[in-house]
Amino acid sequence: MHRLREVVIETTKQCNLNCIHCGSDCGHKTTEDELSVEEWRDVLLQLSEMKVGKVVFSGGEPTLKDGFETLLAFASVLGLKVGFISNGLFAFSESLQEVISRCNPFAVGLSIDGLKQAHNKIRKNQNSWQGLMQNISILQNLGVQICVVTTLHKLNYHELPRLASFLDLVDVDSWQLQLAMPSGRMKNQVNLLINEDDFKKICREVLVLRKFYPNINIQSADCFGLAPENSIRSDYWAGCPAGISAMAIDACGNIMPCLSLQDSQRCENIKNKPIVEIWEKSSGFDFNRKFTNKNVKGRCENCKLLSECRGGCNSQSFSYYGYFHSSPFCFTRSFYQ
Amino acid sequence: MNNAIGLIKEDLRRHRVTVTLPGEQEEKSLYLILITAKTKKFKDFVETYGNKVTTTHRKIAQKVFGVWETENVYGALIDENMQMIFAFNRDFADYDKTKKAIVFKDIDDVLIDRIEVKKIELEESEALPIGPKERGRRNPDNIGEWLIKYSLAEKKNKIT
Repeated sequence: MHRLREVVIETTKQCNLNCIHCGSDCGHKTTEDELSVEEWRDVLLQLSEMKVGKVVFSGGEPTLKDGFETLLAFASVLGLKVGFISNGLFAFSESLQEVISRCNPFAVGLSIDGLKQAHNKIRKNQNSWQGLMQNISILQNLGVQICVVTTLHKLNYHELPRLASFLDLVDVDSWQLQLAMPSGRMKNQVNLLINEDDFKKICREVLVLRKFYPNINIQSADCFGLAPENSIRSDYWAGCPAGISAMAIDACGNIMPCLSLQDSQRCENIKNKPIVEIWEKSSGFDFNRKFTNKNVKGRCENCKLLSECRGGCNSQSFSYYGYFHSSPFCFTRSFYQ
Repeated sequence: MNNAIGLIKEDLRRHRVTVTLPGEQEEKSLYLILITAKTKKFKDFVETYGNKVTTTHRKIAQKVFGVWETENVYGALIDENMQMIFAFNRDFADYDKTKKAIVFKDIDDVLIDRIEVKKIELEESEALPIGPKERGRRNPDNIGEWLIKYSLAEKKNKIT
């Protein structure tokens, strides 16, 4: 039996930005069949009964969802450890601030893709940076942990040292680095995706920045592949958790192993079955749960450490190659093999 | 000393500018002179940007400007009677001849321009730790930590 520890919720597909690299291709409109607040409340109730540890409200822009504050407060009352990710375009309303203050989220994520000029260019909005500055102030005044999320590609990875210096001045708590991949809007901008040389430069930068800025919890996401502890991330990484210990629910109630696997792997809809039944029985998780080395082809096929990570980040693998267990980028492969 | 005043006025003519002052509608004819003084740049920053200054701006400004006195260059606009009409710290604003106005720099640009990138070079051996090793069959509950896209890192040792 696999224990579900973390669920990412696509609160809405609606977004007030139109970022170059959006992996979900979110837009300004909601889709008609998005779950209602009542349906989401039922989802949260089920997740609390399943003793899920952590719930992250993502999007789209979750703060645009009517009733988002209710959901955040409800999840917290149920004892779920909650966090949410925002693009921070507009200053959080006073009512949201009040809910944040009561819920004490483990972190609030703010997407920052570079310093002002690069960030506004990538976000295609000249006020985007200004909103972030306001929200950083708001969250720090509330005493909430801020996790900056930066998605790296050719337009911004050169800015890592300056951005690190800025984040250090601002005193953010965590900095999550992830790699753009050819999904969503980025499918049409593959020329912006990093290559192996870029990846190595990024990794070297991250190694150095983690040593130089110990007050910032700098963590490379799963898409960086297998790496020694305390190198590009702090902890031991046991491979892609999608369907093993984590899953996602999209705005319409479809359960999937990971929100980044929207194009490939949907299990079932929460409107048809209890979540626990889907989690325990859906074959949509089998690609990862029933992994054997025989499943593997491509870049990870002959790796001696394959049983450690099962071929790295599956959403990266699928978006690049159309199959699982073959991470296009891997710290171990780049530096030790 | 009347002669001196005359000389100063003569010299000032070279510094005559037409300017619409911030918050005003009408153009004025004033003298623009530069003055260097030891003052607190942080204080000027707060005064210049007023209610645009968020807690975050203040925090960054304190670190990049310091709270001590440093040499600052001011633009001072004075009238025919040698009365100071308006002054600005040139790190934050300047006179724009074309616009005939005092143009303020964007608050975020002012701070970002001050960010210093520390030159960090670590020896390769120091930067690269020993590579990962196969751990063999693991306790299925020992699943390590992960950080999927759309999830969030958490600082665990935060002292609040």
